[in-house]
Formats: sequence, C-alpha cells, structure tokens
Amino acid sequence: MEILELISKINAAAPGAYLHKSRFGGSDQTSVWLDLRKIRDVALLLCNDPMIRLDWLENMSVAHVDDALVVTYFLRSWNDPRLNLSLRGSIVMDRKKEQDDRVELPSISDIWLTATPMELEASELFGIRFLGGSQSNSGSHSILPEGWSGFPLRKMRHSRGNKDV
Amino acid sequence: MKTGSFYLSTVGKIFQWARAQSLWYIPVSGGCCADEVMNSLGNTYDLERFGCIPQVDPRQADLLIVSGVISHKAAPHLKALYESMPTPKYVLAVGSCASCGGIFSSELSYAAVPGLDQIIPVDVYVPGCPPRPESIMNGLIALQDKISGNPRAHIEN
Amino acid sequence: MFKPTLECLNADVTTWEIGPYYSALPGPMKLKLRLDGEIIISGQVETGFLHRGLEKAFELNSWNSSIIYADHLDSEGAVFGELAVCLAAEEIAGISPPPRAQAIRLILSELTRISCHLNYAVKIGRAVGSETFTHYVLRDREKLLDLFELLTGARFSLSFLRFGGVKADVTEGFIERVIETCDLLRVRLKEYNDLLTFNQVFLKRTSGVGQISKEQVMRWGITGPNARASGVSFDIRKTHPYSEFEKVDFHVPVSNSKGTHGGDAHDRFLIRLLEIEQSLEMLKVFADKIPSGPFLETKSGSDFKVPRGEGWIRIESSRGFLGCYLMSDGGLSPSRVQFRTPTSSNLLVIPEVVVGLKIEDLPLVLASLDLNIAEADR
Repeated sequence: MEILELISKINAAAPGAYLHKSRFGGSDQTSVWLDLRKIRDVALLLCNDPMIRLDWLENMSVAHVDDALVVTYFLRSWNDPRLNLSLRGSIVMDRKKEQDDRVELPSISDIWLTATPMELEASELFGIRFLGGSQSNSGSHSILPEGWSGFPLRKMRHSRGNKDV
Repeated sequence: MKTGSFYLSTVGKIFQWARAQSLWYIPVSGGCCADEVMNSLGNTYDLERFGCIPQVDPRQADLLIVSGVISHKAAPHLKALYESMPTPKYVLAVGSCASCGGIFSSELSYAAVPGLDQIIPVDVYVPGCPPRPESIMNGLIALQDKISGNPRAHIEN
Repeated sequence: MFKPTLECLNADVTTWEIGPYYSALPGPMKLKLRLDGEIIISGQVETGFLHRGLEKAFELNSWNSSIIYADHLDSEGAVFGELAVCLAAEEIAGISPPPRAQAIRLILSELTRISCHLNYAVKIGRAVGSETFTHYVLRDREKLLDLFELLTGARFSLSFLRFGGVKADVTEGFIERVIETCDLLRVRLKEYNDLLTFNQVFLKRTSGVGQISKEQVMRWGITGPNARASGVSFDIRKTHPYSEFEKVDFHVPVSNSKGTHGGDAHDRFLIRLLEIEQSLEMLKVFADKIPSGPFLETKSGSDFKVPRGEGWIRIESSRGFLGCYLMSDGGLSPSRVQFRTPTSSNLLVIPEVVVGLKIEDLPLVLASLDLNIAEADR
C-alpha cells in the first residue's frame, strides 16, 4: 500500500507516534521515524492489519550516534517478499548520568517472535531494558562474562578491549 | 609448567614412547580452526595414522586439542574439562586465537581470553589463522617428540 | 519446610544438561533437556559461549581490516561475510564494481556454497554414523579448497574481496580447473546418492525426524535451505538480486513433499544436494563467460574511507539470509557493523523440534539444522 495511507493508519492507531519519514541510506526503502514509547501500538497495527501484514521482523539493530541510541526495526512480509519497511527511533541518553545507566524501551518480542535474541543482545551490549514482552530481561548476563559491568558496544566507553580508561 | 614426568630409565623411555604413539584426543572446537582440525582427520591428511582417535569421554583421553577462540564465559567449563582428564595429559593449542589471542587479543576484544595458557598449561602451540593441516600434523609430531624426550623438543622457540 | 511436588517424586522424568563442550553438539552451546526415559519432553538452549566481540572489533580497526574480521563471521563460508560488508560499503559510497569483479565474486560465492554444503554432508554422515561417507566427501572438499588456494592463496580465511572489486585477477589455469572440478563433482554426487541419500538405513533414520512445518518457519524467521525443505520458497538471490545474480539463469529447489514427512531431516539433506547440483550448473555456464576488464574499481590505500551514511544489505549465504547493517560517520573505521545471521533464527526452533525425539536422534537433528555457533554468537 502507499506510504501516505500507511502513515494515516499509524496516526489513527497510535496518535503522536509518527514523526517523519525519510529514505533509508542510498536505497529506495522508506524508513518511518517514530516515537519509540508508542512502538507497541504501531507494531500491533503493522502485524495484524490484513491489508499490511508486515509479519516478519528480519532485523533489529541498535547504534550509538551522538548521545542517542538509534534503534531500527527492519520489517517485511512473508506473503509479498518485495514489501519492506523500516521503523526507526532514537532514545536520547543523558550525558550527565552514569554511562552504565540503562534506558528503557517497550518490548515487541511477543508480537514478532524473531525479536527475542536481538532484544537479548541489545539489552546486554547496549544497556536497554525491554519492558513487557515474552522474556524477562532482569539484567542477567548470558552473553557477557559474569560480573562484567558496563555496556561494551556504547561509544562512551573509551576503552580498548577490556581495559578501562 | 610441564605435565607428565620424564623418566631416565629405559623402561620409562619405552613407556613414554608408547604414550606418544597413541594419543587419544578430545577436539574442542571454537569456530574457525575447527574446520582445519576436521580436515586433518580426513583421508588426505590422516591424523589417525599417528595413533590418534577422537574420544568423547574426557576420562579416556590423554590429549586435548583446543582450536579457536575461548570466550570468558566458556573458560571455566574448559578448565573443568581439562581437570577431569586423568594424568598424564597434554594440551595442543591450534590456531592464533588459542595461542595468543590472535585477532581477538586483549586490545581488540572484550570477551575473548587472550591465549589458552591463561587458563590451562599448554604443551605445543600451532600458529596460523587457520593453520594448514600440515602444520597441525607438525605440531602433533613435535608433541610426540616432546613426550618421548627427543632432542628436537628441547629447542626453545 | 521443603514439600516435594508430584513431579519430584516421579522417577521417570530426569534433567540432563549437556555442557558447552560436547562432540554431539555443533559448537559451544548448552542444552538443558528434560527426559522421560529416552524421550525428550522439553529442551532449552543457551548460547553465548563463543561471543568474541566481533562487532566491536570492526570499530577499533581501519576500514581495510574489516575484510579480515568479516571473514571470521562464518568460518566455512568466509566469502559470504566479506561480500556482505563489501556490498554494504559500496552501497554507501556509491561505488559499483566492474563486471569482471562481479563475475569473480559470483564464482567464489557459488564455490563456497558447494563447499559449505559438503561440510554439512560430513556432519550429517558423522551424526548418523556413516564414517565412510564422510571420508569420501572430505576427499572431494579438498579439491574445492585447492581451488581457493589457487585463486587466493588461502584455504579458509580468504581476504580476497575489496571495496570496489576483488584483490587480484584470476590466476592462470583457474577457470579450467573450475570446470574440471565441476565435472568431477557431478559424478561424485551420483556416488553420494548411491552411498547415503537413498540408502534404506539412512532413510529409516532420517525420515519423519525433526520435522519443521511451514508455520514454524514463518513464525521463527527461518530461511535458506531449511525453509525451502519445508516448502517455503524464499531466496534472496531471486527476490533482491545482488552481484549480477539476475543475469544468471538458475532454479531454486524447493521441497514439495506434503503429507506426514514434510520438512524432516532427509528433506533438508536432499535440498542441499540439489542446491550443489544447481551451483555446478551455474558455474559450468558462467565460468567460461567472465567479461574482461579491470578487477578493482579504485585503488583503496591504507587510508580508504567510506563517506557518511548507512546501508542494509541482504545476501543468501549457504545457511540462509545473511544481513549486514553498516553505518559510517566518515571516519577511519566503521561506526557500527551489525550482522543478522541465519543461525540465530535456526536456534529459536530447537525447543519445539526436540520435543518427542529419542536421545539417539538428537545429534542428527542438531546437525541437520546447519548451525554455526560462531556466527550466532559473533
């Protein structure tokens, strides 16, 4: 369906969620910037609406850019392999806070089941606590060694390897 | 730290020679180098003609071949595996990552142990990324020489 | 005061934790199983034992070193990791490699696919207990590794692709050796079919074991030959063609076996042998027709930089859909590299697939899913 129709549906289901749209990099894929606090309502719409049916989350990636964590959800549909969309949002981190502080984000792992390992990785390596969802992210370490403190993939950690600077 | 003891009597020498000719091993695979260890078991570069048979049970093996990266999370389990092997036991570290950290050394990786000798004592190191099967066989022959007490083993590299 | 539950008193149900280092497992992973006698009731997977910090290592080295790290994503299929990173960087920078380089990349990619599928056959043979078969396949895989050595100088970590092309031109005699090897492998495929694929004992062991339904494939996002063996036709080379795959005429084998045995371990094995056959056809037709010209677009020196931007690339590796998200801020090293690997979705289906299996079938089912823990943990 057309992107403007999609945006009007998003605005109807989750008012205030849509921020703006842009092109993704140099490709012809559209990316829609959202307020990530309302991601669950948008996700339920995109997954369940029979006209859209974006039912496969192919990737979720997090990157640390200039004091904010940019989260990108890459979606596609099993029925129509050429239909794809990316949802993006950014969480601003307070520079004055400890660099080992967690930020919070609603979880979508019960809507798109493929998100479970991606959320686990993001929670350990970037320090994002996912609320709700199908797994409990209690801060337990399953990728990093026991007793590790800090989030290695954040850029604020100005260290090389496991030496603190 | 050297494992196993080196007898000086002839009987001891025969025992050591016999041990060297039939090293039953446990392959511990950690990624890339595991493929080359598997290739050296194949029929082009046969490891079995040196008397080595793959084992599953650590209590019936005397050689531990560790290939690939050891992460901090897996290190205690590897140590437990090593300690459950009965003496005399030997360790062969295959690959740069197991020898010294390789491309995942301590400046570049926060999660890999920089070298197997931080956890367990190693007898022979085989460098390479991944090492060719001929290098792995060379390492095995060097280990056999070390166990039998041949002069070649006394060269410090 | 501890009150024993009814389950504790049930002496039939036991728990068994198979630790990280065990030869029946495809790599360092923990399996927590609950068994009723010999039947598995439930299973849970724990991974993370091979986490090396690969994605952070990209950010700490220069752009040229990211080829080396991309090699080590999937050790058997080094070219796929390199191809993903190169294509993503080329999309950001707007470079397009010359036709000769695209052809060399396609040949390498298909040769790697054959090599990975032969490795899969070795693992299946070992899990089933057919050691003779594994020696035959390893002997033939050596010929492919010889081809890699002839072209690039290395057997596994090739480091051959560069941003904008490939590192060097094809060596003399490479194309003839490729065509010779393809002819040889076609004969050997018939031998494998006689030895194992349609062997009555193998059929009894693998039919109906480890079935994955179409609905499970779509729920967990499984791709690649595992999905095609369950009847879901999805191949990145057809839906998002890259590296001039749109110019090659090939057919993607999809299993259409309906009924009670669809999507079992035998289907997954057979699909991969059919894919080897397709790749051999592709190579036979394509190897003769490499266009002439330069093999590298720009000379990338040691201070090569990719301009500011981001890219998302999908390729079809031998295990499935490999995706690479690359972000650059114009500096001397990548700002973020993230891979979406096929194994991380294959691992999600294990708790459902092991229910009802006997213990003796467990190594076979794990081997048939084609798991590579190094790429799942990165």
